[in-house]
Amino acid sequence: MTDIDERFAAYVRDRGEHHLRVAVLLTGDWHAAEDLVQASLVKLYRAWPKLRLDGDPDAYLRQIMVNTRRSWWRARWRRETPAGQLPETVIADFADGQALAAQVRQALQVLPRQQRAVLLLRYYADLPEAEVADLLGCSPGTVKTHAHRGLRALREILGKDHYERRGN
Amino acid sequence: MNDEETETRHLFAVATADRPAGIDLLGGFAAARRRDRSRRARRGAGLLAGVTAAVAAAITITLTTGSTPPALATVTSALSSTLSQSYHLSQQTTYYVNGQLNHTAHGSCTVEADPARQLSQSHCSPPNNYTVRQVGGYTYYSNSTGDRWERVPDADLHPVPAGNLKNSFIAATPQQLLAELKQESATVTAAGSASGPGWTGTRYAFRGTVGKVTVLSGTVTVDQHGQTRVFVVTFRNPSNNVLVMTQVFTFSDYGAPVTVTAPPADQTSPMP
Repeated sequence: MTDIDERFAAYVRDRGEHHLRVAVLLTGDWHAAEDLVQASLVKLYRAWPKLRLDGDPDAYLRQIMVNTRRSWWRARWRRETPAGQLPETVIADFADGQALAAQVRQALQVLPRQQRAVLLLRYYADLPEAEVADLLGCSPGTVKTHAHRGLRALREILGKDHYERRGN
Repeated sequence: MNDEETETRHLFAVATADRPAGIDLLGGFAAARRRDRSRRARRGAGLLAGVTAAVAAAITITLTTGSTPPALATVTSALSSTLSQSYHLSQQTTYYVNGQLNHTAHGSCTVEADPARQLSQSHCSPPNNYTVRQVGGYTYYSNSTGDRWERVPDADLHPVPAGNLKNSFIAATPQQLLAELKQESATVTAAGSASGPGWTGTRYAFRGTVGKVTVLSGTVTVDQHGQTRVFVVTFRNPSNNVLVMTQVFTFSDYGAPVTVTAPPADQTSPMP
């Protein structure tokens, strides 16, 4: 690691985990998330000398991750058609956190990717609608629509029982 | 914030809480960089050798078409001529997603090459900021500041295989895309006159498909000496126009001497 800019290394240590968690919601599994973050960090590093002076590395890295994920998705689109419903095998019980974690991630993968991106950027990364719109290249109104539909779809996929069990 | 939003935030927190041990972002970064450099070096070398391959593939296109013999013969001869002499080349790529220019994917490169002597040098401006030199049986790939180089024996730079382009043309090189057309149909027609600094000529249009969804179209401009001057190719998915990529190759200085020197030895190391 000796030839890597120390400030970049510090940034990865400080913010890498957050982006890894965003990535796992985007991709659905940790191995793919690690690949996505690594590939995106490489791209970020190319721009680092310019970015660290006046840029926002978080915003830039998020943009790279979304674009990279989109390109991977396009490369695999024939194999990754949204199924519309979860396979029965993933309808596991909610007994432990790991099962729920996997189930939520897989439920996200069932959503159209734009809906998925809006949900995790709004409700995990806590970005305002305008910033999500800018990142995804759409209007704030579209973000609002995707968020509304995404929340509804997630609720349907995971089951009303789960939400009602938690008192919602 | 309503309850549904609150619950979604909770679910996302749960969904990211089972992070497995063993993921080392910083430790894995060096390996990821090596893979990226190797890939980009191959792509850079592919650009140099690839111009030749692209032109050769284009010849194949013309031979598989049903266009009129004069257009075929002229274009075929011009493209063949490009393979046999030194030239300078500028390449410009523009890439649109949903009608908006993608600034991270577009860029320009300049190339001087002497295919017969296996000499070439290309420089690509930011965001793809790098230089590639091919000389003495090696291809050298620079870092963004040009003061460190990694070398790869030419023999190790296998051509990137064509294939899978029906699913994605995002990262494809022109030669890959054009090679795909060997098995597809295309048409070539004369499309009017053209001129540039010191030359006049004729523009020929071609059109074909990659797989079932991607339409490839473009022009080859041939000057009064029968040399290729401009080669424009556009790839688009007509069903939604989400992705549109255009590459423009402009040839000049045919026959001009090409001099390429290897980088200083103390700035060079083998690519891992």
